[in-house]
Amino acid sequence: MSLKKEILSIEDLRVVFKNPFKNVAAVKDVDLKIYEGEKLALIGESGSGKSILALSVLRLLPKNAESSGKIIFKGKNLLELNESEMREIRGKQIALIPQNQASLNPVLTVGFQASEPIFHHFKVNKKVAFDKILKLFKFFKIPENRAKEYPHQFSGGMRQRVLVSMGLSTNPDLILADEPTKGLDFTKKNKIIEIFNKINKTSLIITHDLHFAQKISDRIAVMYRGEIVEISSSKDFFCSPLHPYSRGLLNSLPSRGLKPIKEGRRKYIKGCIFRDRCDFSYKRCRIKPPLLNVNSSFVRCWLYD
Amino acid sequence: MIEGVSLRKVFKIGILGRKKIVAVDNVNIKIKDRETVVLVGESGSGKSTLGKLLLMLLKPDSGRVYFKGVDITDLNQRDLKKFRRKMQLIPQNPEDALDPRWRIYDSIAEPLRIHKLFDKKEEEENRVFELIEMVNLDDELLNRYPHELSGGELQRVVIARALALNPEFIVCDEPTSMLDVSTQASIVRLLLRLQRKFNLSYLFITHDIELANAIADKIVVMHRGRILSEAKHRRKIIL
Amino acid sequence: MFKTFSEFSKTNFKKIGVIFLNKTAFIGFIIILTITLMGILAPLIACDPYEADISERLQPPSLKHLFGTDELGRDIFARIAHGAKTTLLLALTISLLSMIIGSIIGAISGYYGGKIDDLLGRIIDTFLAIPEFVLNIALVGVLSAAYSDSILNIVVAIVLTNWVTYARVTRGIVMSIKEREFILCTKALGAGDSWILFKHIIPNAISPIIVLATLNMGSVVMTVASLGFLGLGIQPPTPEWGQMLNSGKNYITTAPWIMFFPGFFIAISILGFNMLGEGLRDVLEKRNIKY
Ligand SMILES: Nc1ncnc2c1ncn2[C@@H]1O[C@H](COP(=O)(O)OP(=O)(O)O)[C@@H](O)[C@H]1O
Ligand SMILES: Nc1ncnc2c1ncn2[C@@H]1O[C@H](COP(=O)(O)OP(=O)(O)O)[C@@H](O)[C@H]1O
Ligand code: SF4
Ligand SMILES: [Mg+2]
Ligand SMILES: [Mg+2]
Repeated sequence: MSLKKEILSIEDLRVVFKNPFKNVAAVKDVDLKIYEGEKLALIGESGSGKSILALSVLRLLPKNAESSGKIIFKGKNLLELNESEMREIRGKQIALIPQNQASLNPVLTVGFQASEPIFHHFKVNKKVAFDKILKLFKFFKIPENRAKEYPHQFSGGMRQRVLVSMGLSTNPDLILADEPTKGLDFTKKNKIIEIFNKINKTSLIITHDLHFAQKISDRIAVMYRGEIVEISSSKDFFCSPLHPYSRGLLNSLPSRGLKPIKEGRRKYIKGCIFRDRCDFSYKRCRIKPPLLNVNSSFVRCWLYD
Repeated sequence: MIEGVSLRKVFKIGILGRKKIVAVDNVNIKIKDRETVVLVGESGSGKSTLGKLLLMLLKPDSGRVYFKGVDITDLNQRDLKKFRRKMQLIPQNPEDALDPRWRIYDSIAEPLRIHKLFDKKEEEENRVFELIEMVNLDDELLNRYPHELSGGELQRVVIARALALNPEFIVCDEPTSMLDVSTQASIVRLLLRLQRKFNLSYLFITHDIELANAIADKIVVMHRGRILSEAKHRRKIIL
Repeated sequence: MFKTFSEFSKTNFKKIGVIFLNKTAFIGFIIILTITLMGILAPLIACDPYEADISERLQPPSLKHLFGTDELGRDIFARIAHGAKTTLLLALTISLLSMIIGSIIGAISGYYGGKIDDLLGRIIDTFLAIPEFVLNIALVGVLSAAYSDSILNIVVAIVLTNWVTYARVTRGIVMSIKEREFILCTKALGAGDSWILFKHIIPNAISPIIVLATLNMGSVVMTVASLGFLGLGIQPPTPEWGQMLNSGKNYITTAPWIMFFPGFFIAISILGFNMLGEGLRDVLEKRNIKY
């Protein structure tokens, strides 16, 4: 693993939302590396800060958010680049495949929209860009003759494929996909799994669907209340999860007993963020555990010290 | 408990209803006392429409609905109101299932007020507290608005509200598809516990096969408005 | 225990706080408040707007005449202040009347649908096909041939075209609320049509309608002033901004203040209503976002 080249390295990232009433840290102390060629799944319950993490990489956070730390991409700290340098990276080197459907413009044809990134970043003419996107459409089994149709004429699964083609069209070095299966039923989900297995690109895939994560990822990072609590290889994670939260997540799957994690107090807590819901918590947990290295995994829990 | 016989529902859409969608096509379905029938199928296959037909929230174009042997298909609004107490709906999206301008307390008390069950505020209040305890919620939430609750908490409120009138049959329309796995587990367990306690019958709609395997007494597969297969099943999760 | 429910809860305080934290709404509110106070206090703070003094005609702004005097030697500040009362009262009456008429019609047609809705759709389309202001002019013309009360004529003429906006918007709002899941749930609990309409749909439709009404006040101010400018509005000598603008146009090079002040107040009051409306929209409609 350490021999592999890292493509993105997030160090000590923190994102704080400034609100009139209180400041909320949506992402805290995140250290995460993405290696070339791997598929990393970022899982966690809704509101845990997954989308915010992805958006901070692209510097697309809402105005009231402030980020600190380092995000190193190809030797450059993205947090220090100016807006025009960032625009060069967005879409061309790092592509975002946004959450389902709604992000397509209803008044433009799918083919035209999908070819826009190529047109912008490579300064080719529209015809060339369009031909290029048709090739990608073919790869993802979107019939060529439908490229001139509008988004509403497409089904949910097809729109998702359009978004994937659009993200891949500029041949980016890194793909960020936010909840690509949200709201899809099992047949459509299976198609998306097929697509993601077809893509040979370094990608960070955000999802709260454990089954989906298992099918497509090489490594798994688990996020809980803004912190990353475990990073393991996909195989290890599903056989022997380390963090008590990860174990709780797996045990609540219908196929593994449907046992929920116990409810917590949901208030701000010092020390381990999972302490209020953890069955193993002890005295030491009042101090925040660091991200510990266990074999080839990382876990933020005192049980492994 | 409830039975639908050759139900059919066609939606007319477009200008002057030119385009027709057969959402439910000649479906027979029967749910026995204390039984969980799980309805699976891809989206658009007519699951929700079938649920609404059984609850008489939609009028079928043809076919009959029997509740405990009584034909309720052609009842008017007033006669139907009596049956509404016995059958309830838990919808898919808890974020949209409660009026955003009503406090949680009022939303839970609403069914009691619609059916004028209590004259005194005190009695109503006692019942609301009883309900909120049933679904393991903190009574501090009662004073809040829906947007101040999490998805799981909201779904519990929706369940409490559905239970207010002591129903016997509940249609759960993908009640956990918007929730996280752990929250899903606790909501499903809550539903199963309540089922045992109050002898409820469920029509549980989902597209998660594993969830269906875990809780179903019978699995019905729907495809393009028709029932494709129907099989008895032994639930994996026994409380 | 029950006292806590009727208590003014923490969230309510938050909501009111947010209105003042919203800069746009706050500035709009201050502008409108200032103009309103000017109108209300006009008899106290300004001299007689009708008193003409030919020896004092076309005086530039000074301490004696804050905004100068017009071609008849009347104090412009006094006329602006009294005009504020006329304009705001007219705008309020017209907006309220159109709101009541329009939203009731819109709500009924949106909720019940069917034939009523088809008919309303036709009417709305017809009105939308004709530019509103042209219709206003025509209506004022017809009405003033029949009745001599210029204020009543203006109110009737504008309300007759203005209610359509409210009906159209309310209909849309009601139709979208009707499709929401909580309405279905309430039906499943056994609620009848009137329960759903009065307890759920109307209360939920009110805040966007209030926003619309605030924005609409701005455009009514504009219409009233335009009619005044064309000589179809409030008849002189009653002070009214549009009509003042008109009378100043002959002196635009020699005494520009006669036109400047009414023009300025027309612009700023429209701006004020728009800012207040936009701000209210932010506050009222984004409330569902969690903090
Ligand atoms: N615009 C915003 N203002 C304030 N807080 C926000 C905003 N957007 C997101 N948050 C907060 O940041 C946290 C993480 O959100 P998000 O990354 O969207 O979660 P996820 O994608 O994991 O579901 C949430 O708790 C949310 O309340
Ligand atoms: N109110 C409606 N008007 C028109 N078409 C509808 C309406 N409700 C559902 N449909 C259509 O009926 C079909 C079945 O829908 P639904 O019962 O919601 O499916 P499911 O719940 O299985 O996803 C779909 O094609 C849908 O578009
Ligand atoms: S550090 Fe302590 S509280 Fe936190 S997960 Fe580990 S055992 Fe549980
Ligand atoms: Mg997200
Ligand atoms: Mg459905």
